[in-house]
Amino acid sequence: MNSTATTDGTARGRFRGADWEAQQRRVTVTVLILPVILMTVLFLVPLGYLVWLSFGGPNGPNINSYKQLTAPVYLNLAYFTLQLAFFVTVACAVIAYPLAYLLANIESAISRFMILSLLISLSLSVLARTYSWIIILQRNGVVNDILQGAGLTSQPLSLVYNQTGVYIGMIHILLPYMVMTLYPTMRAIDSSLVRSALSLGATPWTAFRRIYFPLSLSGLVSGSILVFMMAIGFFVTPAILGGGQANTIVMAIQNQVQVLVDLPLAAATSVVLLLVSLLILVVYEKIAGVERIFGKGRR
Amino acid sequence: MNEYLLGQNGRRILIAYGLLLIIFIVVPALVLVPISIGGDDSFVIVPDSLSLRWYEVLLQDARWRNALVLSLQLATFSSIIATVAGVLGAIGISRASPGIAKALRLFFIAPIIVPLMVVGVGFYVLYARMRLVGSFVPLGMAHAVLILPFVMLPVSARLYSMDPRLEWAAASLGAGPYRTMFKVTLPLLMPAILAGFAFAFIFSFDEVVVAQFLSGPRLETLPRRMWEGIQMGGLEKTITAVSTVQLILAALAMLLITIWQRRAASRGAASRRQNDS
Repeated sequence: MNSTATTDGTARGRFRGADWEAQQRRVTVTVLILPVILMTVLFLVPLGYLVWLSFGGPNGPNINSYKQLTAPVYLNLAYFTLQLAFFVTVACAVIAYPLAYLLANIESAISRFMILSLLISLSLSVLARTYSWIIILQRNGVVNDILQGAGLTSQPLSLVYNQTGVYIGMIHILLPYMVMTLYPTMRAIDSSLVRSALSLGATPWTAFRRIYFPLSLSGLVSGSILVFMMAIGFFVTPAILGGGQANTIVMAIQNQVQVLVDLPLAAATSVVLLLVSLLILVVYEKIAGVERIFGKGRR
Repeated sequence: MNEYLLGQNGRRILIAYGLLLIIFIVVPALVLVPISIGGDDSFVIVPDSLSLRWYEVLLQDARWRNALVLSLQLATFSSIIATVAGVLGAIGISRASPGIAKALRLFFIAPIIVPLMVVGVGFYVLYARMRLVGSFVPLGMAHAVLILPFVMLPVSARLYSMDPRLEWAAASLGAGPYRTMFKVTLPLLMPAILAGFAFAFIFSFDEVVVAQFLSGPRLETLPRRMWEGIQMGGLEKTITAVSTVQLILAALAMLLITIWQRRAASRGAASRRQNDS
């Protein structure tokens, strides 16, 4: 081998160091082989096939399916989906902010219980929770019973199988994600900054507006991106609670596959949605950094 | 208490608001529980008579029982694959150079970013061509990829907060890299791995979008069976029993994980204190 390495002690040490590094790199690559192969075969290949199919598949590259997507019906669906996702996101942000503030700043048994409840509700079946909204909101359901019993309404309100039901159900399911994204950001805010603002004569409102809110903004933005992204791709809740009154783009895709049996069209719609979600992911990475989701920011 | 902006009354109002919100988040999931133990067909929250007959249907009706068994098998199969791959991936990312780690993170998080419907259609068109629709293993593999991030996220978070000196110590005592991984890293990651496994299992057990494409006519998973019942108007009371079982399983799993992690954390803190003194 290397003659200097055998005679010179320091060179030998350096050689062993390089050897150790190479071994470490080999271990890293070995560890990553299985997950990367799995992801490639079972994630990249299906999506790649989808892209190929959307351009006509075996019938040569063409953009016929994409042309079909410019029909008013699809533009309306896309518009409704974005509108739904936007309002759900805003509602979640406004509703979740005070709760996250409470959890991050008022330490008590109640707030610990609230955090545990939120964590448990995040793991509960979406299907089961959506189903229970039907029972709560239907014409002879709990809410209508209470409203009529209290004499607030004379006849049952239609709260489900329409857009109202979809908004209630989606806000209910996505709200905990917003709270749990805001919470760590707010925990990390140094409370002495707020205290000094107050001691320098700022009113609580000014201290909140000028100090606390700007510091919490990064959590609010990343939570909003997360909720918006989930809302766009949400299928179960709008499909069940919408009753045909709240059709989103993912429901159109299901229709294209199972009713129209137009796979190239379904593929083209999926590819557009795929690009939108990847774009949002890139924006998220630029603004917040994906490490945040991986727990790097939590320390 | 780090709260300086609100007065005593403001804090009280905030706590009342928080409690109301928690009720809004938690209670809708719970209304199914009393309904499911009502003896008759009606969907009243305070049942006249109590009975477990809807749970008996779940176990005795062949279609419901098969769906339950299939979903348990599917969730177990896919969670095991996802856990092995997710733990390896998380360890790999933590060892890779920053640039590669960043790219890998984006790559591995993608299955929960891309809408389920898009992934579902992707699998459907590919599997239909390869005649794999309606088979157990291909469906399980598809689920495994979808739930891989659920394993990876808690394990990565744990790896970040782990003391790297523990691995260095093992290496300097002569343990090889794989031995260090098995004897030092993996035991320390155990709480996070179990949490990830539970999240993955719960997700697969509840997944209906991809399953309805890939399960074909023969494989009917529990969520698909529930979905069908709900689409028919949701008047089958067995759905409330299934939902209750799902809720109890998920809540129990989360409770155990939280308690265990808290205990592990306090034990870690105690041993650190001992070492410092």
